[in-house]
Amino acid sequence: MNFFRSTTRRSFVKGGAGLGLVTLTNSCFKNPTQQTAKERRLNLYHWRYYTGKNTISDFEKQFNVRVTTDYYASNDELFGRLTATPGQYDLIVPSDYMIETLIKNTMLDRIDSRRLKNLDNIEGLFRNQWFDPQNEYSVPYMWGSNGFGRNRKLVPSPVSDWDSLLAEKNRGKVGIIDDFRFTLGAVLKHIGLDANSISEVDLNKAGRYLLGKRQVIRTFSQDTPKEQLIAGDLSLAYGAGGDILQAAVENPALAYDLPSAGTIIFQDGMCIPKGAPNLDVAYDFIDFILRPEVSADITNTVLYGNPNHRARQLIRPDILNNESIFPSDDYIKNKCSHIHWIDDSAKALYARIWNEIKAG
Amino acid sequence: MGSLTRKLGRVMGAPGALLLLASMVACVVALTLPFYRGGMASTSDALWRYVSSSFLWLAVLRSLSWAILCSLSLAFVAILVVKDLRRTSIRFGWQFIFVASPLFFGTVNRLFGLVAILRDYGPLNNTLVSTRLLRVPLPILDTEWASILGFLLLSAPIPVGAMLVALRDTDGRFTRAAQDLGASDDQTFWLVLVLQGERALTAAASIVSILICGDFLTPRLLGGGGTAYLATLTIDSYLGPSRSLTLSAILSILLLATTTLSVLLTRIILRLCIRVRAEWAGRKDGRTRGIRLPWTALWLFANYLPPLAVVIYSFNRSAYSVFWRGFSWAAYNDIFFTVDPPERRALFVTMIVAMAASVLAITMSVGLAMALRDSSAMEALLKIAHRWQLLAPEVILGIGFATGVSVFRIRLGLSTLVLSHVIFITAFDAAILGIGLKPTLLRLLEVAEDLGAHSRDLYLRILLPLLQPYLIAGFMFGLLLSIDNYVVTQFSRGARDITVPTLLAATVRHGLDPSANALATLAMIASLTFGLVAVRFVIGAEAAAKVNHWRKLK
Repeated sequence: MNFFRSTTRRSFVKGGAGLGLVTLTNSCFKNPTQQTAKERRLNLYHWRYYTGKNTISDFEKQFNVRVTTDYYASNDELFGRLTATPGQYDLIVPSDYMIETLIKNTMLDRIDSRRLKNLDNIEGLFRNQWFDPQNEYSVPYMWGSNGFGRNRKLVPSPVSDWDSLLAEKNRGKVGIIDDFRFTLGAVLKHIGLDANSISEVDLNKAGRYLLGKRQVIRTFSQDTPKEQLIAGDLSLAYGAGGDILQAAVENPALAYDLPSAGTIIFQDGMCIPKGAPNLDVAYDFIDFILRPEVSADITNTVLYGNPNHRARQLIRPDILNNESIFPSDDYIKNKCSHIHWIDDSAKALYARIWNEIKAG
Repeated sequence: MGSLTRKLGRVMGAPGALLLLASMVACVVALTLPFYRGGMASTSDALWRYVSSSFLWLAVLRSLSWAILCSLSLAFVAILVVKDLRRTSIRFGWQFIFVASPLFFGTVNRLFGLVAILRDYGPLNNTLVSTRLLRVPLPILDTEWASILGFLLLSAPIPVGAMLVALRDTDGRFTRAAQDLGASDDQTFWLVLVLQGERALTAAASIVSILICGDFLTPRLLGGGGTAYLATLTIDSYLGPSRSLTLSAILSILLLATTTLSVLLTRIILRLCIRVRAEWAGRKDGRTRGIRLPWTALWLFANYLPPLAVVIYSFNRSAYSVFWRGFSWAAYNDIFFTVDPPERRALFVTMIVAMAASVLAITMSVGLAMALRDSSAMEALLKIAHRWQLLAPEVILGIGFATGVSVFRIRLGLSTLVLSHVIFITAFDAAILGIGLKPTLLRLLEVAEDLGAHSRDLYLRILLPLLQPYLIAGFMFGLLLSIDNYVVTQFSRGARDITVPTLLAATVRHGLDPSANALATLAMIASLTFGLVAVRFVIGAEAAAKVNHWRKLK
């Protein structure tokens, strides 16, 4: 008898707790848009904090869509997740070399440019790039550069190249991003070689350059070391421009310098992965982002460069006139390089040399 | 083992056993596929030179030695802390909560709490400089010492919790007998209690060893990324810039071997150390010599400081957890009162998955733990699958799961997320329950069976009540593993199932803002509340009632 009584009590308690929890969570998490019967949805896969404050909610309101955003931390994570979950995401925003990789792996849907009314807003400089020569698979979103973050109080004079970044007087105060393509690429450029070189001789030269200055570097940060720059643990850093400029909002002593000899830039594009369940909404979203006011709002928030020429007049003048966010067309065209796709054995070569540098 | 007990183990353990075996098969397939796909020719010269370079083997050595050293020292500190805790009059339940709750803040946030404390101009260095103990701030952050500190702090509560649970399960009469026979406190503790808790302690040290070997976040966030650990290299070869299937398969096998070796060595050395110490306690005349550090105070201070930083920074007005810019409720306000913020969705998904997975896993693992005790050819295979599940790198488990699921053309979503969590939690739960299945308990089952007990009685009246502390520990540990898991989750969740760790991983790029800290605080409160309610009303109350009933029968 005891057994039966106790099971009923247990199941009662269990059921009761479960029920209570469900009602509790339902009442807490009820969403006003949840009730509409035939609602349009968008499964967006995006970088964290890479839109304006109200970009998504404005889109939801104007197009009567419910957007579910998921976030990735790196292009490679995006690739891994996309192979694991085919046919689930509607829109992704990878960077240039990842767009190239995704096209190579036939993971992207062709974009029908006739369905995008605002496509003409994109400046010619950012169209038909090498990774997507006819812009068949991607629509430019934002672009940015990698450069030097500097704490003006600790390092008063601008840093214009890698020699002055890794000078002995900055020992233990420099952080660089732990991404061998962006970092070795920039060093290759600095010593006058191709930023995408996969020749071992070239890479060894870049490796030797960094190895000689290894003791100056304190941090190999997974991403731009924003917080350490803000806190003053680092006085110099090599990382993504927008991130450094965002950190400068928190700590006004921070500045962003571009290497005078040129640097690595990246361009992120909106792409539709194969088998996207809500194709129409994805096109609506791309067209919405292409609107000048929406695009300008994103740049005003995240401080990255904008490929939308009609958005320029809506961008805050202090951002628009900042040479390091909007460098001259000549600098972009002639001095900057993008990262290109490389094969597995080239990756192993890069990884080995990079890890040998880190080991010192 | 009696035939009925064996049958019980086989029937109740079948679902768990099937999952473990399926997982192992899928993982092995996923691991060997890259070699078959490209043939061995795909292992190019560049790959070979990567594998034979010195930094990789240094990383292996580093992972191995720090995993062993950290787990051993944590085990010994745990003994001292438990010794102090047992002197207090705090009830077991509260002691357990007190010890375990820092874990529930999540790895990423605790590490960031530690970063905030250790900064050159952070509270620790400021205090040291202003009290003139140091002249210039000590740059601890971004050194290997910071990683080691991180390893130690992250898993510090695990051996203490295990020891507390094991000692609760010991028979008080042994202690009393020893004291009556004139043994000193020290002697009673080492010779009676610690030796009885040894199984639990070695198991906890093995778990810590596994966790440290697989930890790629600490060297990145605290250690400054300058020193290579095997886990960081492996995760980079899957989800980082060096993403390449062949390289990652090679590194995973290496990581598996390293983890296995570190667990084996940890167990051997720990057993030896405990024996020597107990021997020593038996020989001397009761007085404790040497300097007694206030271990417990130090331990509690170190464990509660990072979570405290997390809670404090969740009320910060600034968008970064660096400077204090005044008190604000904004982060909590955003989570609760704006329309569909990602934090709320993440919290919701994480809690649903953790609840479902930990309940299912603990239910399945009782039978599984029994089946693992059996001795036949099938069980030997099961044992291999179980150890594989415990020791294999998380990425392999994740890739294996995704591969296995894709064969059946199942769409990744909430259900696959729960399933993947159930698989890896079940392995840990079965290991924890295995500690509780002592020879005396198995004998008891046999005797009851001979006396004509029904299998239902064996299960409900003997097994569950006597395993109660281990059930609680296993359940709480499962809850913890689930809310903290990042890698397996990435390979098993659907597009809409965003969880707390995956959201935080994407947020780290921006820097942890107050809402991330608020998220960790809320996740801690929610999971701990759920855990305690479940323990109190489902496992605790039932098992306690059974114990009383059983005692009356006796």
